[in-house]
Amino acid sequence: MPEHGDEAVAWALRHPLDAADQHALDAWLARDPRHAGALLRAMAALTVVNRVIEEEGASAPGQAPLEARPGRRRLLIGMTGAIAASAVGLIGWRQFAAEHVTTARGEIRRLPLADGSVATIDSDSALRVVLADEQRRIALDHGQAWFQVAKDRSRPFIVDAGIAQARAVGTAFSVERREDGVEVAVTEGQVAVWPSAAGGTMTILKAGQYARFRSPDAAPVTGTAPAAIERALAWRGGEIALENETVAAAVARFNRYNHRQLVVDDAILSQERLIGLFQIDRPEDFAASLAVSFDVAVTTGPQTIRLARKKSPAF
Amino acid sequence: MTEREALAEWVGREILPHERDLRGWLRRRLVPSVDVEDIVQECYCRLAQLRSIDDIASPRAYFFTMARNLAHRQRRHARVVRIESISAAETDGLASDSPLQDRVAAARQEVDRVQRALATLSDRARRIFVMRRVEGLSQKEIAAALGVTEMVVENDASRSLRAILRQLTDEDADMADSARTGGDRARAR
Repeated sequence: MPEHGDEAVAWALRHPLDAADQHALDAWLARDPRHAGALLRAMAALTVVNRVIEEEGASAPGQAPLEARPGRRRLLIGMTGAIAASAVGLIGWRQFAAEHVTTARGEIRRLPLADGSVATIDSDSALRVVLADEQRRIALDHGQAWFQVAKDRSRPFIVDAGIAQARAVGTAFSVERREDGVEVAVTEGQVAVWPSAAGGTMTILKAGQYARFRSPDAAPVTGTAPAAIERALAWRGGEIALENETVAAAVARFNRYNHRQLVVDDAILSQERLIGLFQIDRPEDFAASLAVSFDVAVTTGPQTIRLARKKSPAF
Repeated sequence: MTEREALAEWVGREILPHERDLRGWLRRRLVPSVDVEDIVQECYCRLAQLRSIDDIASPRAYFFTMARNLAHRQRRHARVVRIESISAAETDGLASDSPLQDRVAAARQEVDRVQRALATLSDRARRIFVMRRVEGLSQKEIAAALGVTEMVVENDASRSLRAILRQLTDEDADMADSARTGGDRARAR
């Protein structure tokens, strides 16, 4: 149906429809009874494309459907600029005063946003929130947050974590920004992520999948690890969940939440692996567990809790 | 999801995958190709008027029956057609034309065809579809993200969707494809 087909395809693709568009569409549909049929057919074809795209996104998080080709300078530049320019625009950015939110060490804060989304912010984090008409934007300056995004197709929810970007419509995911990189983990729905300086590489993550970014222009390392993601997010409930993590990694985690720092003075002890669930604000309990399991001496001072392997008694 | 979108979803799943077969079936019944075009078009018009799809047990049979009725009218030189009911007997007869495994196989072939069609898209066209669907971006936002005008986005997406539609529904669109799969269309009557 070539003659109506082309117009119908254009209408099927036009979105979102504002009042004027809707009016024009109604007029177009009224002009010829065959238009309704052609539109339905075009919309049906689009649903088929969408289904395949979603399946691709689900089955291969690492090989995003869109691989950047080196040398596509214009696209790369276009995309980088777009992060700032898209929808709100550079000028728009300044118009909306960002809400600055920071958490102190040990503080875990649940921040309901005006759009119905909720940001659960981890210890020692800083972010800025701008909810504009056309998009919702969070700049994560450092630290970590878990976002439960209220569904709103017309206003994508974007988290800018410096070297990496994540975009969702209605879903739940966490973004962690540290010195050595950014990690995005999806707990519900789908999220698109990409390195900030490489427009071509976009990866679609589904629930239970994560992406780790090390640089602003390289594709992330991705994987599927739903249980590990949930464990890593135990901080939301004020807990640290360990499943085969090293003592060193566990200690680093506790230290992010507490003023009293754990110090391990033994290289072998730091590489021991642990399983357990601990209260995030009770490093002393963790130290006590270690003392029992590994024959460790615990020295508690005002600022530190030192862990050292007991000297083997000389026989 | 609006009613129209829900219907489109259903048509995309249950009707569109059979359009190629239907066109071939009509041609084999010596329906002139200009009429085939009209009949297919009219089928979608009627589908667009459906208030409920709950009663349609076999969408493929429904589609074929509709087309057959229209073909009869066409032969009587009636270019304008009325909506008419389809008898249960006809529907049942056509439903048995296509055993379940055939329909499953057809659906799988259809997914393969879409995947092949998507593979031929330019990077940019692909990105446009992903941004639309997964990220829920508007055309304007996609244009900004790609650093092109809205017109470019619209043309790219339209051209691609038209190509995919052709590949899905037109028997001639991918001759190479049918040759490769060894005439799997033969079962369509």
